[in-house]
Amino acid sequence: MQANFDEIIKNEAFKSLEPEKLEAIKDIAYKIQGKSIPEAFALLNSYQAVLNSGKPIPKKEKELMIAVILSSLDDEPREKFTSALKMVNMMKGGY
Amino acid sequence: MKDFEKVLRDAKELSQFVGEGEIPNNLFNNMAQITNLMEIIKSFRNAGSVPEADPPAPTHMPSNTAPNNVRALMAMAPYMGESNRKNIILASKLMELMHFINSFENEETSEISQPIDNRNMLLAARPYIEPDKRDMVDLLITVMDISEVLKKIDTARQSI
Repeated sequence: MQANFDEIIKNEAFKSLEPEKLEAIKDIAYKIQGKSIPEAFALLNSYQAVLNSGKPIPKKEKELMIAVILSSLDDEPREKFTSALKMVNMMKGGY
Repeated sequence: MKDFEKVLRDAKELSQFVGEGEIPNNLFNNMAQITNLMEIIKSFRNAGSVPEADPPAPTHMPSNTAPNNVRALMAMAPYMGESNRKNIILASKLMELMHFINSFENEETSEISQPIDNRNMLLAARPYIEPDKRDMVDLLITVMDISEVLKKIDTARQSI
């Protein structure tokens, strides 16, 4: 799990990210481990303001951020996270 | 250890759903609500209303009262890939649940559609209506009052 996270965080795209956002993503990756899905969403919610501050996170970085979340979550919450994001997209017609 | 390549592939697919620009404000709340609903549906399923089994075609049938769009989605589900099938079935169940909830709301609406409730409803809404449109609300309320008086007169006349 940690190996995945390290590989992702070393990605070139993350180097252009604002330091506080990178720090937030590292925090999320660390704190989200072992969390249930409601706890995981509450945690993500608490970092939303930081993640949305300043410049919007570019597409590639957003992709890597999701990879960090997926690689840090346990199997069951990861599956729920994936399904929920797809469902929200289906119900809202995409963000 | 998770399959690193798979995680990256999934993340690439999912990032399309989040889209460009800011992360939508209600995204994580909506996702949390969806997972709650999914849990409710799962508990219904575990309670025996829709037994878990494979293949899904005969086991995820919509109820007899399900609207046609739900039935159409359910009919398509067996022909989809594993992950899409799961999402389609969940979407169908959510739509069925919404249809079920709406049917209750319609029943309640028929109960509160008496003139006196409409009057109170308009009175309650009046402070939040733009001032230049309040005359229209007042007029409607007056019409309702007159109609009520006429009904009473009519009832009294019939009882004589």
